[in-house]
Amino acid sequence: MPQPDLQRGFSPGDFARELLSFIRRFIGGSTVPDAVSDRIVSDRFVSMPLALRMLRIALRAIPFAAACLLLLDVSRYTPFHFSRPDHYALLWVFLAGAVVALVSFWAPRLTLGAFLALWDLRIACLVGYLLLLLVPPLLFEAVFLRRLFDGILLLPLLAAVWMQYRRNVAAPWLARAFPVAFMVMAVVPGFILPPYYQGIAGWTTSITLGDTVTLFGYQLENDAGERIWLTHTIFAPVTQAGRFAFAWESREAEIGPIGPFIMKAYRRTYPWLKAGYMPHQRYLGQLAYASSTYATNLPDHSNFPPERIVRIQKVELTYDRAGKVVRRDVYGDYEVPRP
Amino acid sequence: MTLNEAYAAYLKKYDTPHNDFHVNVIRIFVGVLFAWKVMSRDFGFMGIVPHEFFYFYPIEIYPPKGIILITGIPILMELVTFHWIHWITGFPSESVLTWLQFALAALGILMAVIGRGPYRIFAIAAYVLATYLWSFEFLSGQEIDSAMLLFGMLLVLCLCGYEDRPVWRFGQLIRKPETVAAGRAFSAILLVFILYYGLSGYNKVADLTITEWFSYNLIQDIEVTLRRQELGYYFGAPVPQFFALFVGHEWLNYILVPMVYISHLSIFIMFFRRRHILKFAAFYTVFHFFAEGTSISFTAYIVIWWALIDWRGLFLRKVATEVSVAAT
Repeated sequence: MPQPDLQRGFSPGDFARELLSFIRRFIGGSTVPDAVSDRIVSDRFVSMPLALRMLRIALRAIPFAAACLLLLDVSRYTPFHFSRPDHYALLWVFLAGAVVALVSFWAPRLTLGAFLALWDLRIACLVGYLLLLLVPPLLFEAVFLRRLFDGILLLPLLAAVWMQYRRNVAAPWLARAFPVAFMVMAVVPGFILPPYYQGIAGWTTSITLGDTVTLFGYQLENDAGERIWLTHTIFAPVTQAGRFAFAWESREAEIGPIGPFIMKAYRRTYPWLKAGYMPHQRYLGQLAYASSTYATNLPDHSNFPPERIVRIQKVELTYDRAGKVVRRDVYGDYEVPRP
Repeated sequence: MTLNEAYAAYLKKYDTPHNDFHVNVIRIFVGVLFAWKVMSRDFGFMGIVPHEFFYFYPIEIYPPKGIILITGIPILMELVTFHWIHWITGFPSESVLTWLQFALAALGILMAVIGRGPYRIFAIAAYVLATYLWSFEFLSGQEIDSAMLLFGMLLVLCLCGYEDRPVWRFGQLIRKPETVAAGRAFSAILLVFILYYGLSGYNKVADLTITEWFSYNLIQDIEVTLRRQELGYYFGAPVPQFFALFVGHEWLNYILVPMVYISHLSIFIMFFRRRHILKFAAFYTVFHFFAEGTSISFTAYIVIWWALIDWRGLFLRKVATEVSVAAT
């Protein structure tokens, strides 16, 4: 590694390079002879099993990941902004992670022992290690942080299955590939490569059943002032309610408001709607496979031919227990131009 | 047991011989389901969508505190979904997309009836075309459509070397001894299920605290869905009369929801102890049906679980019963 020119002074660039070099050696071990940091050189573990190296990398990456996220969090130029409890949790993880990382740095035998226990797959050790996965959800509110730190904890297992993949070349590659695929998809937070993704996410609902219930979506209004809900299947093949409209709204600056497009789609699908079929039932009728969000209550469209539609509104209706509308909030209004 | 020994046991189980008849039955399930699903969508619609609409970056779908999809980088998405073809050919018209939809349905039926075809061409073409077409959904804000299991199974059928037979020659497979090739295909299909449900289980551990396992208001969710449905809302639950039976029994939240999470985490058992497949199939049928009570349709998964049952065993048992009845 080039040494800084002491005659010239120690510039911020040199400092950054030194810092990066230290981080690299600290996390990954070093094979570069360096007179200043003998200990780091002696701590090289390139010849150790990959899983052990990954365990150490995982341990030592935790404080750096926490520090980077803290920096991103306080920076106003990034989209990463976590809550105050997450902010403090990151700080604690940084401190605790730094201690653990230093222990693994100064006392490599300890991590070696932990690794060997894991490698021998003593059930208590493996279960104990996997129980660590329960800690990040307790520390953080943001799912991204929970998955990121759990992903880091899974790195040694990813390394273990990768080693097995490389070692068992005589076995069918598909059999060896599945555990690797599983671990990669688990380690990378928010993995998606269509048509594959990380499985059903964990989420909760907290529903307080009150005296009112709200309904949200698009409504069509005809020239007689009658209104009906617009079925979400009008955007089939996208049949999950709200998704297409949400995606459109994210592109509205480039492609214009959604109202005219809804009319275009409505004109296209009206013949089937009038006949009592939803767009996903175009070919198979009532025998069609269900839409992703289960479609119900297709209203009679005979009074709603495209030429009689005067308005499309994005609304939220609030009903009382008697089924009466007590409130109608309009979030978007598109007046259909008359011919 | 060491990790090496555990891995060796896994590889040994992967090679457990199985019957080709069953893998062929699975092929029929997959082919028919793809044909059914594709004919129940209107891919021609995508021909009227402005090209600038694509490619929706899926991380934008959910709030940052919720579900995350960080590898949904547009250029990467275009590469894996075969949408890179638009760089060369331009965007397809409404009629081209409709023809492709019919072509996929035909390939699904061909695969179901005739088999994977010479050089597995029907299966491979179906996989490429299905990925291409469904990706119009994935790239426009809907990252799921009860399709991951089907895609995984179709990919396994493309890659594995079991003995393929058209439906009119299935009789030849009934008495055929079990083979390792068919066993590997069946194991890989089981692993597709394990990948999907096992990762879902991992997500429950990573995304939720243990106390949050007990805070999903499933029954209240069903009740709100039914109330909205009564008010004429455009989505709801199938068979609302059935789901109405559970309204008011909120205590079920504390049993049903954690049971599902535990089943996800224990799905690995199915690979090593295959006699439990039927139990998992029954459990997941009930689970996915219950999810429909909150308006989320998982019909394909309900059906596909039953493809895993050993159909040859059932058939042979029936034949044996008939023979013994005839003999007496």
